[in-house]
Amino acid sequence: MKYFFGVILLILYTELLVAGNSLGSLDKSYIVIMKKGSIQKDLEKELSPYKWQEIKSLGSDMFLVVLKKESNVNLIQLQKKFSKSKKIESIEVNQKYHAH
Amino acid sequence: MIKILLLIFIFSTSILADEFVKGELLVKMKSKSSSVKVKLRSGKDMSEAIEEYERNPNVEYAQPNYIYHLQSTTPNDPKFSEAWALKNSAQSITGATYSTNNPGSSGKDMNLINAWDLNTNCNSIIVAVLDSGVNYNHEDLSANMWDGTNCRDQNNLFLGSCNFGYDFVDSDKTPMDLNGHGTHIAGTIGAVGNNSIGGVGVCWNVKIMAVRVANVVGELTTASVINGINFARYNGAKVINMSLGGTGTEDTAYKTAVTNAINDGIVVVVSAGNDGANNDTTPMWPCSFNLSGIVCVAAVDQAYSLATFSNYGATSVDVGAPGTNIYNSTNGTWSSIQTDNFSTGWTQTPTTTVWKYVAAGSGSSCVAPSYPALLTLPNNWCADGTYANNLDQRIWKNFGSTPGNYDAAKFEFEIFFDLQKNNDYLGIARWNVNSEPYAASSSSLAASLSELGTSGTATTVEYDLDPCKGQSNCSIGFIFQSNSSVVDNGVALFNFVIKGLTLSTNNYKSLNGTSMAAPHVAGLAALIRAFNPNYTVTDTVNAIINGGDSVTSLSGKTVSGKVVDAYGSLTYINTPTGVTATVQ
Repeated sequence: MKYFFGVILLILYTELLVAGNSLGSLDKSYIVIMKKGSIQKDLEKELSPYKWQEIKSLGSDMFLVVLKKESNVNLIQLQKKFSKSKKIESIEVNQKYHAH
Repeated sequence: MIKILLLIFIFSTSILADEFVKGELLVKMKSKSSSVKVKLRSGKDMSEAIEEYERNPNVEYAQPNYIYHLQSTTPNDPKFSEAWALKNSAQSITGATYSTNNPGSSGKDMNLINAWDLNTNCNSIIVAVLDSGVNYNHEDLSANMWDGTNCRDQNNLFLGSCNFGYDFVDSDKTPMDLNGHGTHIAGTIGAVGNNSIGGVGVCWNVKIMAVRVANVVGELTTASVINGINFARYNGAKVINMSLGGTGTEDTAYKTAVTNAINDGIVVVVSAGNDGANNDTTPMWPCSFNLSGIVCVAAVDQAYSLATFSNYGATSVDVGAPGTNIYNSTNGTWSSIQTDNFSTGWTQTPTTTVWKYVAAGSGSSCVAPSYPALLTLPNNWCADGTYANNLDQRIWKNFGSTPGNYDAAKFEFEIFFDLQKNNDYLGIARWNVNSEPYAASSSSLAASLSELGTSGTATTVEYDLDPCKGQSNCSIGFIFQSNSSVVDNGVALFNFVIKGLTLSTNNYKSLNGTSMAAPHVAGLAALIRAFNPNYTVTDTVNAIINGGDSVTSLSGKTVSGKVVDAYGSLTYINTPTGVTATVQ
């Protein structure tokens, strides 16, 4: 029972932390193109320094990567880091588009 | 050889020419450049006369003088009369919202009446509509939907049976259109023709693949569109329509996905955009991707003038097509469920007076007095000066179960804003709770506006109420956060309205946009590829562009300076591709 309430309190605390975060540090969503022959495991390894929320295959060696807020890294830093990678071809922002 | 060609010609046109002038022959002498008409004596048998002439070594050929008729294949669909793009008889369009050149000029159309004499059936072609989904139950679309049996996912893995496509917004197999945009586009491409129901598409029969990549308010991301393109590739699409776009930086992943599709033999048709802008100087993606297999389409009106809203580009936009007052199928009806002037029912924390209701007509000098009631921060838009540093001020209201009872719901409002760009934020949240939504779940956040900066004019924005579907509570909230540095005038919101969607299978409406122009070309691409099954992407694009008609309004505004002409495209003779010759 104590454990149960502990979990509940932890969830509530986490939610409060989330709610208390600045809107300016939203989850960051990126598109990664992998080099031929690389797989999701390689991507996960490359992203190991960061906390990620979601990695999802889009087909054709491309992946959606959603980093958590606390990763505290921006696109330029990621591009610089991955420019030397043997597994990652490119990384860019998951942009928004709109129906015309 | 000439006789063989003549026989082929006679055979191939026999459907059109089954009569001839009795007692007359056309005889071509080898020494002459053209044939002469010969009247036979009364009672002379014509076939006997032809044989006699052809026994003469000086005669190249002799044939009956055939009678031809102009055919006009006109469908019986009751809304066909509204489809000026298909047949322009200078008709006025029902429910038109683009007043310029309505009615337009007779004959300014895609010449489909003549094209349909050659082909109406694109049933061998799958056209993927990457959009807000398609109402696949619509009375005028259901028979033309791709069946989705044995469908494969974006990784080319077996998925089982899909319902007419795939939904990459909700990640399921039911790509129902909860916006209306995609269903209209599907109708332009392939509303069932000659079925005595509704309107008619460029193709009377076709296989429309519904690929939902855009949400209730028509927004999509790089990820959803790449998923959609790969899904279309692995499920046999020959044409993709993407009536969508965005400015910003060139999206390498998106371009790579489109390139892969073209390399797989798919013609990709896209819209130019509706900002009245030059895409050569302000790129609109995917229109501005420099790829030969993309056809980017501008919109023309009922007199073939460039539509005032249409983007253009002498190097980036390929061709024009009808895009004003386009009447076709839609997914249902959006109606206003509830309006709100912010006067009652809103709760704010932590301080109760930072957000403020300003009654209609009492706005400050920053807002004309004629403006309706406002919700402002700081108190009275800019009359009370700037907002404070280090704010986290929230306001919310529960709209109960009503939004959740609709097939989909969204909320709209207008906004003035003056924020410290990328430092101070207005968050917009919605969640199925009777409390402050963002505190209940960070997933409630529909948008965080900081990039807006400053605008002297109001902007209309809209957001989905997806989390409220089927729920008894639906709270909508605004969160204003400022940092410790510069402060500005803040925000003022007004004209707040919640709208609900009721799906139906027999709704039609008139819409304007380059979104409406692109599917006319996508339908034409399908018509061409069905008529010429061996055509490559290049052949099809050549036929679309070169078969078009030059118009002055598009000269210097598009690559070709042309509007599309379906008959011109079907009868355009391509220079064969993939053929090499050796000079000897």
